[in-house]
Amino acid sequence: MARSYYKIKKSALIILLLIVGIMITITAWLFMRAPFRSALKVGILHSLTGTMAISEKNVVDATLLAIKTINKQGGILGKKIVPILADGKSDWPTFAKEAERLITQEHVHVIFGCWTSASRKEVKPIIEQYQCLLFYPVQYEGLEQSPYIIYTGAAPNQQIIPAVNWCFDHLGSSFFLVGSDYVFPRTAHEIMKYTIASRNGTTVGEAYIELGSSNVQPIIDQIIEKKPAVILNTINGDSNIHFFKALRAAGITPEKIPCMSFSVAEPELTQLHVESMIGDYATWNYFQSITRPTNEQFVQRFKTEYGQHRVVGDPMEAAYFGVHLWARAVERAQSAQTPLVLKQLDNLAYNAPEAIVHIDPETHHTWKAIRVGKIKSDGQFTIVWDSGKAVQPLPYPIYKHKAAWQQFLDQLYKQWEGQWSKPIIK
Amino acid sequence: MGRSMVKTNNKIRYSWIGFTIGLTCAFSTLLLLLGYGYYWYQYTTAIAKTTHHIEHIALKRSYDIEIFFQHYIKILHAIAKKDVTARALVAPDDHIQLFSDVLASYEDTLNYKDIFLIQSNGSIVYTIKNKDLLNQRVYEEPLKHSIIADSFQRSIMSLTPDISPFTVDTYFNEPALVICIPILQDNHVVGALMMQMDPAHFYTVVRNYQELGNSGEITLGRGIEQGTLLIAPTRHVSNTAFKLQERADDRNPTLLYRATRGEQGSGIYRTKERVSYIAAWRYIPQTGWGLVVTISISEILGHLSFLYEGLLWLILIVLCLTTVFVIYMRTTLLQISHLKELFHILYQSRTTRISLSILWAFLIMGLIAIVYRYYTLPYRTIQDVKRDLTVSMSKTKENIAQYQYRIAQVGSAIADDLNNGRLKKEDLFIRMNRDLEENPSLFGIIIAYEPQQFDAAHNLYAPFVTRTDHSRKIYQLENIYNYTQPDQSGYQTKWYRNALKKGPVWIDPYVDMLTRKRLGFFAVPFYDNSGNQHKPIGVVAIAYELHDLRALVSTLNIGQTGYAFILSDKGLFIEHPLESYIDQGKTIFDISQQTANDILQKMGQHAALNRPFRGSYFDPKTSQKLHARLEPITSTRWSLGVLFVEQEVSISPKILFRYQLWILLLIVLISLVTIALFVRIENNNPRAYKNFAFFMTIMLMVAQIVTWYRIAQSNPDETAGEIKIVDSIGLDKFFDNTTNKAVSKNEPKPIAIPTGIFINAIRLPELNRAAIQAYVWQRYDASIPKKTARDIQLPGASIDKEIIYQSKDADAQIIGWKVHAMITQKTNFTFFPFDDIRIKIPIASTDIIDNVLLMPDLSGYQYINPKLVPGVSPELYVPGFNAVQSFFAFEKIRPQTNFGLKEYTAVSDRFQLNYILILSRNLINAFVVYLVPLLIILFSLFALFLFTNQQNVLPIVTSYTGLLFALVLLHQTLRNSYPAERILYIEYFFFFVYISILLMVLHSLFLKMYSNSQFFWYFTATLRIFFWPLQLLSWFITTIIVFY
Repeated sequence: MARSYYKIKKSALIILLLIVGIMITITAWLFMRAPFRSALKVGILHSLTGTMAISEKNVVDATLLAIKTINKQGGILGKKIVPILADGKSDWPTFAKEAERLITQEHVHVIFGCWTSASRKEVKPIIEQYQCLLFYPVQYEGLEQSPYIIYTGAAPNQQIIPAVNWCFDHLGSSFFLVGSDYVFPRTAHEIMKYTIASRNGTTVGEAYIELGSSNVQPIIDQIIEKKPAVILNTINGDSNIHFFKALRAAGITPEKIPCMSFSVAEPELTQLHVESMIGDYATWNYFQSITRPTNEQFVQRFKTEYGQHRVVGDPMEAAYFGVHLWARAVERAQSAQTPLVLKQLDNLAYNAPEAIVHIDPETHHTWKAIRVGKIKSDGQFTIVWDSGKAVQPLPYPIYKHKAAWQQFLDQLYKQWEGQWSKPIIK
Repeated sequence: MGRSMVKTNNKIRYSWIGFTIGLTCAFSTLLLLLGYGYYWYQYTTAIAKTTHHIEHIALKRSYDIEIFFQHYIKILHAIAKKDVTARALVAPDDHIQLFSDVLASYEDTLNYKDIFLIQSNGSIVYTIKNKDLLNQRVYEEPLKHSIIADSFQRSIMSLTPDISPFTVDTYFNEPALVICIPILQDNHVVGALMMQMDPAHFYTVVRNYQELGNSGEITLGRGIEQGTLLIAPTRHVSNTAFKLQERADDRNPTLLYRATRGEQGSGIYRTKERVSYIAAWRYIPQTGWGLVVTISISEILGHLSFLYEGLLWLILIVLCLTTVFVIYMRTTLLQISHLKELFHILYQSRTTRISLSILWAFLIMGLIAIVYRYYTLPYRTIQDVKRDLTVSMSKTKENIAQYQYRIAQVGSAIADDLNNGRLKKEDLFIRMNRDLEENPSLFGIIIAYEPQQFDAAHNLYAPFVTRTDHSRKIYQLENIYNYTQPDQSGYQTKWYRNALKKGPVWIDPYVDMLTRKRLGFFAVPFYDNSGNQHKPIGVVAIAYELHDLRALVSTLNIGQTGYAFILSDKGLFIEHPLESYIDQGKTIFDISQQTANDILQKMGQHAALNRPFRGSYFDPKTSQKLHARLEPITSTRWSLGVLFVEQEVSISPKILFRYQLWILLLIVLISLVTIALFVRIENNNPRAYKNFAFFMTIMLMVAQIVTWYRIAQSNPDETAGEIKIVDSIGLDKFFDNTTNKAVSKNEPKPIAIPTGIFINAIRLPELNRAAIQAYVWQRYDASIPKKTARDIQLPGASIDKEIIYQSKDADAQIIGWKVHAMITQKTNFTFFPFDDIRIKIPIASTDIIDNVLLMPDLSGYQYINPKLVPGVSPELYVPGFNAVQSFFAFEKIRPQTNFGLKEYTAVSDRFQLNYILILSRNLINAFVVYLVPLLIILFSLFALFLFTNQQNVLPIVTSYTGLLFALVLLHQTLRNSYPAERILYIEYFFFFVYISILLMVLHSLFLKMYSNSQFFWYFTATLRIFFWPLQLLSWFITTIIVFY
């Protein structure tokens, strides 16, 4: 009895020692390879509620898909990426508060987030104060550069300017500009007006509605009155539903006055009445219909994860490859520390679904391909023009000096009483 | 063997032969192992080094290609910006000739195959070689599918410069590449300027095989649907461009395929022909191409091939000898009883022994890996920084070259236009103003004429237009001085005289007497081409300030005190982080003499020859190793230099300390497993367990003592928010930054007063209070205003001081005080007894209105290395402590009051000078006072535990209570002496003893209850045997966790 008892104890001791030894060796090995030991926390900051949730929830899904894909492949530096979700609630000061919470309380290494420029501009000082990285995935109005923001969406010369030029060449020379009343549409319209003038076109009208508002009838009346050849639409969020509904109700169809949209991609189309929009246009860097092997894999992965009925759009793709770019930079830096990652991000390339993209070291914007698409009955786009290769990002359009653009932004900010959107009168 | 050898003569003979063979066999095996070890070391080192080298070349070539294109884009931009280009597009008939003339001046720099001007509607209005394309539209045949249409459309649509894909073009019918720049006039798109590149020039950039040996290869390709296409000739096959395709996809990627898909990496790969290469691959973003650099492994390992073959032969010999040995000695081997015994001991239970052996092997491997890493990490970290520095320096050099190129471009363009008469005399000011507006990096432009060359009314004529904050300022130089003659200083008119004499010339920066600014000049002569004689009639000079250069080189600042600078070929500092060096016109030779530094002397000599330099040197004053680099900038004969302290970029001591802890832990574990393997453990023999426990105890004691020793040796942690001053460069840099900040905020400049301290005695009446007796002195030079108070105070301390000496030398007045002060210290006893006391002596001026900044008087100390404890008497004795470090540090003060003085708030950043002395605790005292009683309690506990039996449970439990009482008293004393918010390190040992007492009491109770249980009997026996190993193991692990 005693003999067998000791036999068991001895074997158990040896096995225990063996396990401990192996664990220590593995830990030592990992310790040598990686300078940090905990999982890598990343923040995802988007509107999960409110008017912008219609668009931003999709971007969250794409970001999570990228994180899941990387984790499946073993994570970064042997560590899993742990996403921490924060809700900006379509309210810009909340974005700033949540960004600060993610950095100071959750200790995230990077934030992937923001859609509207108003939210980005609120988050920017926080990001810069704490020297944390932000990957911003949406096309925007430009006129900005930050050492701590990586802009994976389009700069004005990668969406707004080519779109207007294309419309001028193919649709007509008189334009009506309509948008939500915050910094992106206001600035985008300024750039559009310069572009239209540069081709000797005319801007016959310009109108704005509050973000999230459904009061679109006054704008429709103006469009009917001005009779433009093309409508350039920078409305964001679910106001688009009301706008297009009212447009069709007034008898304005794509055949009569085509509309070029700047914030309507495939996911937004699923919320609209697609049948009535066939023949309208959008300019993006990415469309789901692109026939590249990397895109087919991305779409397949997304549908497998979230359901075959789901679609992907440009900001989602930009968010997806943004995570991959960050992961690649961390791998190269062998650290998630912001200065080291930033150094690696310069000129870093990635074979994204849209094209081979890379980060411009001077501007921190992304070299991207440009595409103009025409809406089809299935809610997808037929690509009618493709730049064929990535185009250099120029955040400050060449019509004015940087200082003059800055002055324009300062005026807007002052006019809106220190906010990046028109104050809502209650 | 001995027994077999005495059996018969025959057997002895056979055995001796066998023994000889065995010995040879063993020796050969040893040789083989050593040879293989050496070969493996050489192999891995050579491979690693070459991989780094190849990566570096790939990076450099990709930069070369990018810079090549950037260079052309910049020139094309310059042409596109000219009015004449836009006018040629709007009204070709009137202006195309003028445009053609402008273009002719760029012929040498552009190396184009053709240049096109294309109107916004796509109509070609200008081409040099393809005249058949004139007035054709790019959107129509034959250009519809050519790169001309493609690039033009992309560029015009996005209003962005465009580089087309490099491809066999449908129109040119050959490999072609174009660059297209959109042109706007008054914000109206008027067309584009397009250049068709000559691939031959671009191939010369790629086909640079320096540092690539004989087998090195560079492959450049672009992605196509089926894989990749080579777009440049390779070294060994010159006609591969646009002919060789590599089929590949994501599943079977080639290196070039990976590079063209945006990947970057390096490693060893093997071709289908089974040739091994080291390769590095990169994506070139601007063009979308992939670049692969390779070198054959056989070329790198050529010197090892002989060794490799030798080792193969040796393996054969060892195999043969072993076979012969086994055959000859088989009988004898089987008769050696003690060998069998040894085998039996080692593998008593096969499974467990094998498991232990595997564990042992794992641990050994882990230990080797960590030790290797520990010894190579600091070196590799520094090497990595040096390698990155090479790349950064070449990038900065390129940036400086581009900056200079832009300046030269403006000057040359004005001179060209003056030569050709395109710039009329009446348009001079318009042109100068416009160029200044378009080029923010320029400070001013001078157009200076030779006597009587401007017009008859002016003997000399030289307008100098400069930039001011919001407008322009115009000087007429001829009214101020005669620029054609040398002035007294010898350099004010150098730009004019040298340019006339030598042609285009760069003038080293100097303080211009007119603008009172330090300006550099690029000067180029212009000529009178009206007659037959080609004689210079004046000089165009471009003046630039140095802040742009500062921004360019500031990216090279490495570590806390490392910095970059630019030297002229005379050793003069063109740019240096200490502006005083530039302002005083100091040369590197002056600094070399001042600091008795040979390496600076060598740098200066290399700068004079415009040659690169690399070197390291040991600074005896700071005990630091510095690394110096110099790279020539050929265009101006300047040199870009970098100096940094290797220690600052090396791995932190904390990480190295962690490695040491890991090594120690692994050694302990290996020792334990080794003991387990070799000590014979039998079930019915408790002595074996006792032996095992004894060895474990000894091992853990040794480990604990070594760990304590290492902790005692480790450096104290730095304090955040403090600027530590350990050398004069750091001090000067700090002063310059503070001064610049004050100037930028329109605040009074700091008044620097060098201050020193020498401590004679320190007493610690309480652990959070220090009484010091010291000498403090200050040097007041002539620059210090008379109203500034000449007195000191120690903020936060009660102080008693008297002036004990005053002296005056040629430069300054020196006042010395004898100071007695009582200073309150912040204390942290968490790591007691391995804690340090940090005595901070704050020194301030009594003048709190002026922006007085006390600076450490480093010249007053023989050594300023903190470890040599400068400023402390060698006789200093502090009972229970040793002085281990001292240094000066600046601390920003935020009093949040103006002390009733409005003037106080005029300075936003005020710094206090602190002298920091670190005292390390004398461990012997702490151990005697706390650890010895603790060990005695533990010994008593162990003794009681040994004598516990069923009969004496009650008295034993009573004794345990007595021990607990003693322990509580000791603990109470410790807590009262060293109050802390957190648990002290030594307290963990107290907790282990508490837990042990509790367990012993419980054990006594169970002993009474389960006296007949055999299990409990074995448990008690095991616990008694392993009492000390368990105690020591918990101590050891706690120590590692606390100090990790």
